[in-house]
Amino acid sequence: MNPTKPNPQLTEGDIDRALATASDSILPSSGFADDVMAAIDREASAPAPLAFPWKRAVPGVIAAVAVLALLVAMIASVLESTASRREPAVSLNWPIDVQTIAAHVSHPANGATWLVISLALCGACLIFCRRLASPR
Amino acid sequence: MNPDPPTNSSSNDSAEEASDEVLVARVAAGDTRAFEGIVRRWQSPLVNLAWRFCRDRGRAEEMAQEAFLRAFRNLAQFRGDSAFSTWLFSLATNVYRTELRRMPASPLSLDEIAEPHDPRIAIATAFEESSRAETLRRAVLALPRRYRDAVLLFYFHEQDVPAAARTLRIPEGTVKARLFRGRELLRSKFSRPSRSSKSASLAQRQPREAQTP
Repeated sequence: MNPTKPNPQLTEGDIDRALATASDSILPSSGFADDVMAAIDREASAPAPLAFPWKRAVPGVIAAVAVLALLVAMIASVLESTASRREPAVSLNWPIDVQTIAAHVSHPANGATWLVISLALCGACLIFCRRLASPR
Repeated sequence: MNPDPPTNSSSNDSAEEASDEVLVARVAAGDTRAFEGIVRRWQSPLVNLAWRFCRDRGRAEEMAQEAFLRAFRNLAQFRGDSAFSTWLFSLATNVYRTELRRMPASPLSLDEIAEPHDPRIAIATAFEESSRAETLRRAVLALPRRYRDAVLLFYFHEQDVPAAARTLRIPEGTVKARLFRGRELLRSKFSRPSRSSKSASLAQRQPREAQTP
């Protein structure tokens, strides 16, 4: 054999014959269908996965959205007050002045508001958690 | 391999005689046992399709079982827009591809394809022919995934491009292009000089390969 001679060219017919012949198939084992049905029965008899408790989660989601909205409103009011005190040409003063926020929050009236909000949220959390933990 | 379901005239089981759509409706209504008709009807095609993907009987049956389980779970998604077989093969193909991604088959590398020692003898003997065919089938598994899938589905569907396209959910033109490229790759691999001659012919091949894009 000439070592540099390539092997015979593989034709499309060769590929078709090799890949389309009946010898390229197997028969399932005799118990295959029974095994599959056993697995199907297990699947069908298994308890359905617990659905997410949307009904119970709705109050929490609403509370979270409300808190978020409150925070946004607070930040917006802080920015607004900051902008009004400084040069009016710069309406948005980024990054947010932390000292201004601290001063705003530490103001007696605002502090009381925060205190009430925090207490209300704590109470809501407590009620919500007890409700989640309690049996139906 | 004919992907059409085998007929079983001796069976009197009504579940096996009912059409796929009727069986699907019965399963959807809560009659789990009706799924057995689907399993018995399609077990052979699904196992064979899996066999073509992995060339391992045990694994092929495991993969086919997983495909049936997935079909059972997702039966509600079958809307009857296409034939049940199309939906089932498509789902099974996805399962097999995912399974092979997770744990690849151990095909021959295209570089490890054993070539006949002497073409004059090899061509003359049936054993060498069948061995070469088997080598070719395994070589298909070493093709890049997209060409492999097109080639496997094309021959599984008895060289029916539209059927392969429906199963793969790609246009027929894409299937044809992938088939062409897959065959070209196989041809190029099988027409290379045998391994023993690799080193001897390396110097001669390099200039030729350099010209190939």
